[in-house]
Amino acid sequence: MSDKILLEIKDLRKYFPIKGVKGPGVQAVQDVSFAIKKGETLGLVGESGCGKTTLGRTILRLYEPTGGSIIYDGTPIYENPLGPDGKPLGKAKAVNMLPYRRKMQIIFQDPSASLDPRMTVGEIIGEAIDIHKLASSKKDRADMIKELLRKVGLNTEHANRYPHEFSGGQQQRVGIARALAVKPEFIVCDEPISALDVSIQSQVVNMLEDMQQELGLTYLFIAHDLSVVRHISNRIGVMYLGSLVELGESYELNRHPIHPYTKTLLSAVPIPDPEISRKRSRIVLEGDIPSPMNPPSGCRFHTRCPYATEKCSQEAPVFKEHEPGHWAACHLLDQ
Amino acid sequence: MAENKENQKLLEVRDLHVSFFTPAGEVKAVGGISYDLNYGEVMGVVGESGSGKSVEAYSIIGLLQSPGKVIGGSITFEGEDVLNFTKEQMTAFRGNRVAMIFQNPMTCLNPVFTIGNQLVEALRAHDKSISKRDAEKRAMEMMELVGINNVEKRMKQYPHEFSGGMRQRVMIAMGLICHPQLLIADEPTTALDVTIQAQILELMKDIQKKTKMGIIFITHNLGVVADICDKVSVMYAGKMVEQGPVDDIFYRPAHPYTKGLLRSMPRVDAESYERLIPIEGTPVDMLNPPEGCPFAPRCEHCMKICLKKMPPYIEVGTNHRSACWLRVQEQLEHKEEKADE
Repeated sequence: MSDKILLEIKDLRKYFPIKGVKGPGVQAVQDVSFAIKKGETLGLVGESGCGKTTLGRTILRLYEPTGGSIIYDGTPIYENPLGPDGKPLGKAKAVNMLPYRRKMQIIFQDPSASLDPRMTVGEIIGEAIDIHKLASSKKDRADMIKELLRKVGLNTEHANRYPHEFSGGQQQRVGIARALAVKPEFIVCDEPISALDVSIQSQVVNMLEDMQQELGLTYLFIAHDLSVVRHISNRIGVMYLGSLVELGESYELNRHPIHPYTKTLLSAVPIPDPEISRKRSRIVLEGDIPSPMNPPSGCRFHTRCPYATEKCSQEAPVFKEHEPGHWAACHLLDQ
Repeated sequence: MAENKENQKLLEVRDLHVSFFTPAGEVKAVGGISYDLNYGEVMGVVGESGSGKSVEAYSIIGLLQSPGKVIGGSITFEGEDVLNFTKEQMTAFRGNRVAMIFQNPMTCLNPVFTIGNQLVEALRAHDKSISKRDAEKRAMEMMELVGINNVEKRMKQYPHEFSGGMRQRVMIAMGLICHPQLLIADEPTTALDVTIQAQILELMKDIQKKTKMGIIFITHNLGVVADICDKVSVMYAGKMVEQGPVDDIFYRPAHPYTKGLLRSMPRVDAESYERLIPIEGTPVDMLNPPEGCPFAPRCEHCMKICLKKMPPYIEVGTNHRSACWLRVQEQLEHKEEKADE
């Protein structure tokens, strides 16, 4: 990992307007800022509906952002800074994404749904090579596909087969090969192992780690399984209802979580050890996640937070550095 | 009622075989499993998708659908032979004495009826004599028991007005409304978020303590097993490869598959980075299962005999059994040593 920042987002926001309903609509990502260094893995955790997948896709501009900015390798690929009133200032400045698609890739959660069932594995991987004109000849293209299949642990004959002929773990390997085909620098891994069996998950995790070592990749690793994210990430960001509530070095964040939500999330993860399970006391949250269409005022977590005060419901806490490299947004920490 | 029955057998499954007769051939989804469940005991069943853990549970409650068929073995519930029940007996048995909750609560609730309506229906289907008003009262009590507030209003709402966690609570209420002795929970928390999963697990532990019912908890999450179960069965490709008390499974696993599973998972309480040790290879193709031990092709200790013959179940500790040739070999060596002395 180098000190060079590869990707930076500032106040990134994504709202999905709803037809026939006044107001901003679903506030899926609310002003999230962070930077990822080259070669780093940043993990993103949170419950379903917290906006982690939307954030990943907005960074790649698969969803067009509503406001904020995305800077990739020094170049803004989207810019529409927020004014003091919290609204985007004006028209967005955005670049043509095609050259950036080569550098920024994504691995999807459900491998069977993200691979075209009517294309062979070779065609799926080859399509990416064709779009970016990476192969100089037919033979070159075939060699590249073979090399990619070998890299992800599949046989070269597999190029002529269709996705349904593979198991879930193998399909995910195809998905990874497809992402790697364009020699990207940055990959959004959107729950790449959640759909796989336990015994296969670790195979894929190890492979992602090997690829990172070998190719110097940078990952944004999105998952809801904290133990996996902690294992693979250098740093972890915790999201709740569209906002980033805590960000820190992964082991530090696990040992000393400072935001109340991170604490509950950690205590809710079941540990495969009966002795520890019996002794451990759990912080069980009351209630459900509020709707992002109509998020609570002030701190978005205050409706479920066991420590919430008057101030939490009125004023949104500022996301700031409390210890070196350890960021959080909570009023309790400001006292 | 159940207190005096503790340590007595509630359910006995012996050498159960279930096959699916598909156009592509026979799939032996469950290939000869046996176990006992006592009153008030919580048994976890772990295994990968397709290992037969759900199929086995479906056959207990008679929900196995064509082309699936029980082709051998026996299931005995409180001394009665479940597999030879008539249709009427089965209907009376199901819901009254055994209930089941499923992974996805949304697909199990009817979207066009209110929650109250469905709870009352479940109760009155089994107890024809109960009046509507009494049934409603019982339904509200059940909803309170599973931690739903504002019951009078909630009874009149439809499933889409409930969140995922709340729907699962409704399913649990519906399952428990006739006070069954056995609850089969098929991945009840898999579709839920971790904080909601924690709520549901706490609720199930709490209710289990109050009602002393037996639970078969099917899951692939070993963390959940460690949390809620008294004993564990580990399934692989339709075979039960290991079963025993929860502590034995986690601290003294006997089967290489169990060991591999425990080793391959990253733990949230790990102190520092350690590379994961995966189980290599791919899951078994159930249409063409390997001869011998189904885990042999992926096992690091695979011997010649493993590829030819399925190992027998042997005792490796108190109530702790495993099917692995390694353990058989160990015990033989142990006996020889004793004989030499």
